[in-house]
Amino acid sequence: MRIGIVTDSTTDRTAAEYAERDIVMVPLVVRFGDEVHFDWVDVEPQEFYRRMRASAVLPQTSQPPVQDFIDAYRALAKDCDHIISIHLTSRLSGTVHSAEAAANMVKDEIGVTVIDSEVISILLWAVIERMDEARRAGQTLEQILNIIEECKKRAKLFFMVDTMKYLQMGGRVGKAQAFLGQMLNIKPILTLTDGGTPTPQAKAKGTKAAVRELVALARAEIDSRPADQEITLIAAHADNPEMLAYLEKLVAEAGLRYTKLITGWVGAVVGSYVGPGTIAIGVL
Amino acid sequence: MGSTISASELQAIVTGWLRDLEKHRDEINALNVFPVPDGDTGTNMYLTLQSVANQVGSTAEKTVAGYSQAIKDGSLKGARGNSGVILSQILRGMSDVIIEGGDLDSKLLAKAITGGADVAYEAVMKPVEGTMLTVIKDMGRAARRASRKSEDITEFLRAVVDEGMESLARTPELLDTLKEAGVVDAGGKGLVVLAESALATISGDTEWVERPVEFAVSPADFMAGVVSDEREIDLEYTYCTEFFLKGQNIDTIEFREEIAPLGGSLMVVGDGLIVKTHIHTNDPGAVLAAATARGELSGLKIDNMREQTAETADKMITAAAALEHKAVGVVAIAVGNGIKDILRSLGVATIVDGGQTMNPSTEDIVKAVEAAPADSVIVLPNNKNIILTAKQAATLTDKRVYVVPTRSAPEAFSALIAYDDSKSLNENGQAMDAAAALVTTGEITTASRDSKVNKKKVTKGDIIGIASGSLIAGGGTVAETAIKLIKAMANQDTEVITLIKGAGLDEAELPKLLEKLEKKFPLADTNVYEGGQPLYPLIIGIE
Repeated sequence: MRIGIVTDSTTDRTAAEYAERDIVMVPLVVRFGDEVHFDWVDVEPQEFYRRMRASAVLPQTSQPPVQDFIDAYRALAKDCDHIISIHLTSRLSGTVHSAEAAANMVKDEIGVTVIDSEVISILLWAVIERMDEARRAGQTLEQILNIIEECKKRAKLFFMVDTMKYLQMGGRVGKAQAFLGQMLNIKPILTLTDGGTPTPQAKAKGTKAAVRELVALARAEIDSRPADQEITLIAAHADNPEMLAYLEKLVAEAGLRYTKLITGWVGAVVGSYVGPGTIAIGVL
Repeated sequence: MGSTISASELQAIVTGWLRDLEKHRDEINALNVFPVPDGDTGTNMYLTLQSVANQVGSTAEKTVAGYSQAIKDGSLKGARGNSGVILSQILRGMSDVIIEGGDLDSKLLAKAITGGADVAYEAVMKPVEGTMLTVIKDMGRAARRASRKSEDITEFLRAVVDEGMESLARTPELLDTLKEAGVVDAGGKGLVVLAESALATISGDTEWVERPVEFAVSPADFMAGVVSDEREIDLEYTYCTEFFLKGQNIDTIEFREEIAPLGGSLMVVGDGLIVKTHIHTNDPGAVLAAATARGELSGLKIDNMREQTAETADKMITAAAALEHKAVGVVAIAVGNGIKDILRSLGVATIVDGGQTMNPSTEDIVKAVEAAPADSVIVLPNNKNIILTAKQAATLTDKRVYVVPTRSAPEAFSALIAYDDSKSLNENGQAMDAAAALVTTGEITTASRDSKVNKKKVTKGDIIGIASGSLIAGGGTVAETAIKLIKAMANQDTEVITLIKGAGLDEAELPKLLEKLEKKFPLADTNVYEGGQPLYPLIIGIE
């Protein structure tokens, strides 16, 4: 059985990586006023943050149109027997709903299992790598779906935002208490809970302190895992390369146990959610 | 009892309006339901009336008609925000009726109020019921009824005020957003304040009873609701654009139709010579192009409402946190507006003025503890000379009090980060004790007498650095003294350096100081805050 994998641009990976693993990516949309861009297709993160910082207008994001998923599914239908379409958490975007609608419309042509990964960014990519490896090893659809469920249980993402402003304006956080202390240089550290909702986890008195806290949280997570478990560690930054470098240095110094480390930029769409300056660490 | 309003009474009414609206401004602002794209209703109405009062004050024609013309002109020039523009339309409609009429008796005034309501409805593209429009319309109806019953102007105004109050109370029934938020309409409240104010001026009874608006839910709950994930702050338009268009025979209807497709919340009001325009749009350029084709622009104002929304949401959360009744509240003693603002932003309910040179009395602290909207209270003295007073105050109140013996603002900030009002008084107290204890405080000030530091002479008036009660550095600039002081206090494990700027600091010295600190303490985050404290150009916290 040949299984196709479809995801969206919020894995924060490049075209070359999708091609290498034979993954189909459907981009989300990011708009500056009337100017429309496709995440990771015609908008590079570096240029995007430069504009985001300079612009008075905040970028707006939207999920891919249903038609884009229909097109992706139909294109794969020729070579595949079934498709797994896995996407960023539905707590942050309606992408999964676009995918579901599309899956329903093509159900007579190809079977599509749509999955809410409950995570985002490179951590979502780490899940996809596991899926792809299982697929290459000839595992069945059911086995791959089980792997995804296991990943969803394990995946932990911790991230520091420079300001709660972006999450707050997008209506993407819960409690008001999280905003106390905005006048101080207190960096909120959040995690994803309850299916991928950003939830305040800790406060750090400054950016470097926040990065140290992120590494401590990842370390505690890794230490709670069985010693023989394969661990993918991810780290991402939204236009904050110095702090990513600091984080990597701390990870090395602390001797964190992992099988694989993936690092990179947070793209335009995820960057619009969390704002420039964000640093994330994730454990799968 | 009089049956007409004289020119001087009309002038007095306007003066009274400004005074009374200022008095109720914050209360009206607090009624705003949305993260207010247009800013605060109370403030907008107040500023609109300020322009009215200025115009009335400077008019040469001191007659009822002359003042009415001034009210109309002043309100149109000064109108701000949605509520201000609608108010200006009401006043314009009223003025036009009064200018045309004879004696300003209850019959003419009733006609004027109705005229004001009519003009206001016309000015708004899609009138919404449950707003100030409804309130003025209902007041107009009551005015017509009352004018048939009695010629007495006081009785007439009282009937208008009574209906205004009732109409205002009904606004939540008409508008779901008000109902959800548990408040009445802010603009409507402003109109009622104006009606009551006019009544007070005419009747001479300035001690009218205040009837405060009740919140159906706690302010904190409804404000928190504004930013909860259930209600996404999604503004369709980014820019609030306002301007005057001056020209000859401007066709307001045609102009309105041309720009209507460009945005929402559109108001185009005025006569052929001067037109006030207000629109929420994503394309202010196209709006301005359409305007400049017809005349000259003046008073142009373009605000990014998304920025406003974020700021306002912050402000609301802070205000709400302070108003909310808590199980465990915090009282802090502080000096300096910046320090006070930060304390409030961290959840401090009540602040007592006081510091190094003005220690508050036990009674001051007891009063603050008792006034704090909390069952039990944490007190942060923030000065070593106030700790004992605070401890004594704790024994003089029936409330349970825990004194966290903070000696400085940086200690208070650290303690407050550990504050969690869902925990008990003792749990909070202990957590805050521990957090405050992590902080060492240094202070830069001016020597009040001659002294010696490290065998070096310090003269009265020199800059000195003090930490843990000893003189560490002295004799240089603020920055030089600060760096010496910090080197003495901090080490390579130092994580946070907090600098609180006060009076007497030369800002030009800061960048170099920060650069040196970054080099010397690469692991530390250095945070600089506006403190506004007197006598201490810098207060320094090391953690």
